[in-house]
Amino acid sequence: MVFSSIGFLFAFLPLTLLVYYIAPKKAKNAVLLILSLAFYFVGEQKLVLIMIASSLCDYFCSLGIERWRERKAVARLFLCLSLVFNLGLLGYFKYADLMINSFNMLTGAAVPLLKIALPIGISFYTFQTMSYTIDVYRSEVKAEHNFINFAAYVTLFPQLVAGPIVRYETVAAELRDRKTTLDGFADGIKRFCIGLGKKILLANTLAELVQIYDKASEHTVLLAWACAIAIPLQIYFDFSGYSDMAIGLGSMFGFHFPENFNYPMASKSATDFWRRWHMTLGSWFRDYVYIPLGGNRCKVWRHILNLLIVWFATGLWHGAAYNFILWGLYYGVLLIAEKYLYGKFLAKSRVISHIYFAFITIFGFQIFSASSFSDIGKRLGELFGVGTSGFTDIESLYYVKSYLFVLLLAFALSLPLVKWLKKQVMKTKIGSQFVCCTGYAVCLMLLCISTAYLVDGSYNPFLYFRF
Amino acid sequence: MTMNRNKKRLSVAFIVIFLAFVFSFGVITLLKTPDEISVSERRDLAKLPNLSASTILDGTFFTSCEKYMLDQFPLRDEFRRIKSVNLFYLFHQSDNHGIFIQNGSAAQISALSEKSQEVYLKRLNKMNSGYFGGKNLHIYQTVIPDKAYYLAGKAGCPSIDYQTLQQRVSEGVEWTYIDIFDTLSQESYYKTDAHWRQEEILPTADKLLCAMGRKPTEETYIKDILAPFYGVYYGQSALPLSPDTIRTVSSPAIDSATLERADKMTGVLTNGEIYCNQNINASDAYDVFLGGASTVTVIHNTTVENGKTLYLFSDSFGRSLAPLLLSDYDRVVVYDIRYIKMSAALDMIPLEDGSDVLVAYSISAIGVSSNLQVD
Repeated sequence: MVFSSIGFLFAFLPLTLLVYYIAPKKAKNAVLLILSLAFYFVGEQKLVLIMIASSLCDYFCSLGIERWRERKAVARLFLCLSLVFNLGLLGYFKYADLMINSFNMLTGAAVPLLKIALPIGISFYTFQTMSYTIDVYRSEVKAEHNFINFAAYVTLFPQLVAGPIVRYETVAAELRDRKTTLDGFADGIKRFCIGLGKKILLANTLAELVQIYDKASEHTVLLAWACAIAIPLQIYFDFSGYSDMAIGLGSMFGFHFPENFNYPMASKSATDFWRRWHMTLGSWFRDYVYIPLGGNRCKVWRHILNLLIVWFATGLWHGAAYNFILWGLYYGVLLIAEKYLYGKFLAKSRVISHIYFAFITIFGFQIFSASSFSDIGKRLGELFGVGTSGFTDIESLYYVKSYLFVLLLAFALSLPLVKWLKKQVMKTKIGSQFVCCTGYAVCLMLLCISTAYLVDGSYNPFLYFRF
Repeated sequence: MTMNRNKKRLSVAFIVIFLAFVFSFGVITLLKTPDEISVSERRDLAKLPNLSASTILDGTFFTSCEKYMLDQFPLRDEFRRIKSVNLFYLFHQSDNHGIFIQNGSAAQISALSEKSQEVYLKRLNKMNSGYFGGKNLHIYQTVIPDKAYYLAGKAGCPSIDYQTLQQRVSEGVEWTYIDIFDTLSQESYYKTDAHWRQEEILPTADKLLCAMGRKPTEETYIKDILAPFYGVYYGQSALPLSPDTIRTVSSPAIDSATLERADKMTGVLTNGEIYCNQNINASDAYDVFLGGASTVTVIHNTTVENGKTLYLFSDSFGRSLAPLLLSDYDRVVVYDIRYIKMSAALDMIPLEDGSDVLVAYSISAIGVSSNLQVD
């Protein structure tokens, strides 16, 4: 089930709120666990067992680590067991076919692909549970003795399928005792409506333009550029919209999830971009891969190697395909180049750094959205007229004109302009009240228009659904 | 203090409206008596899915539930209108589901694949070799342009290559091709529908008659004015367009003509009317013409006795055209081989030697020409 569906908005959500708020305080986590499992079951049915198995494994491993903390070898064994189990799940369900395919390509063998269905959210919940056992092993958090509380954390439906990657330490206190305030609940609804609008009104509309490009047998330079600009915006609004909905839902149930995006399209470099884009994933790789590898407190060659390993893994996390690996390495190389070659030069000029960022983002997301290596070359070539049917034609002009306003609107909203404007208006008392009123009104309008879009159309894919 | 109280009141109001919205629409969707059809979209709506262990375990119950909720959502058409208004007037997009508006008239962006054109030509050639051979028939054909031909240029939207299509069709089969594109204009079509207006196609009918060596209809007049007519694009665009008016055209020949239609179940010919005015209230008001879709329809002209018959193979466009071709024929036989095999249709009313045959399909019918049952 996705948040941006009629079934979720008008059946699951009201039912969940009703049951949750009438349940006694002691039973709230159990209620959340049952409803989260139901939420997952609607989309994945039997695969819910995998998630339960993952929860059980990490629950007992963390207890084992805590019980035998003094005997390091045993504690390490439990940690390894948890890591092997979670990475094994990921390896089997997500990467088996990529590995078989690579093996076949390297050896010329013809091992048949497994074609296993990828359980929804597996990349998110395995990373969350791994971080938990690692943190318990590092004595950074205490092991959770109450299985209901722990399973409620792992399966918590707002962040289950698409993050943000919430670490146990972030919500540990709230799992045991949390308060839902009126303002918190209202803010949660507000955030949810904003996320819904981002996803349905912007990301899905931009997706139509991308689909027009994908379906066209011939492309013009104009359509290629329009699509190249639309893709990063589409993915941004899709993913950040979903994160907003998750954070908003969390707030409705008294949780405070970490922010996942901070206007990444306003970045000035690749380094800046990854400080603002999918921040919970970035900090996960920083804390559990990059720093244990030695981070930047080592020789230059080792630092470069560390960065390449992290970005290889980041790319691979996004998808079991070569273009995702290349995409990760592309950013790795950019980060290295910015660190050791031209980072200081970029910092001197805001204009140049923004132009630089625009180009690397457009190229980067062409790699991200390509279907194969040859497709990457084709897409990039088209931006410079290679393999196109010309600069423009009637069809391209029509569609670019048709989606121009949405493109411009999406671009403007991807920058912190509204945030800045809000800040200016809120400097006065009246302004503050005005912002509060219009904020609520806009959110209700977004809810209404998003519902209208959902009712009207069945096209509602979610890009990060299978990550 | 006052400000905080105001903020709190606002928060409460906001929460109440949100909860009322999701709860009330959710409860009404699930508890209301399900609607059978969507009038605006002209389609059956999803039914409540079967609940069983197998449908739950394979997930089909949940996907069907989502479809059911989408289809049965309260104020569905009003929500679709909100979307459409947002899309056209706020986002300044040019079309909604491929429907664009130009000069107050709705039209669909036309698309016709190479494959569809090939299939159509194959069907025509099969008709020619399998049914028309050895009968000394005078065979004519035309392509009925869609509204987009006249509007796409003004709207700047993509369209099919009509010239190439006409050339391919005219050269693809050895029949006399009659070009009717120049007899029509944007005004020849209803604003809310894909069809042409009968009162605007008299020049088209006359051109066809002349090309077939017959006299054009001399005396015509508007018989009835039927309103309101909400065409297919009215529902699809979901915009508050003003409805059309159906005007039926008559002549002395049409006034005295009789009509027989094949019964849907038995195939037996029964009497009917040229114009069924009561169908203005049917789900498809275009069924006014010849009483709606029928496999075989025969219009008898009681004012002429020249032994000439016109066999018209066409789609819904042909139903409004057929009466206007009657003036110089004994009878006009309309076959709709989308609903009956051609062999069965010709068993009911066989082709007579030396007669005229007109094959006239619209762009939309050519697009799904695999539906033409030329067995």
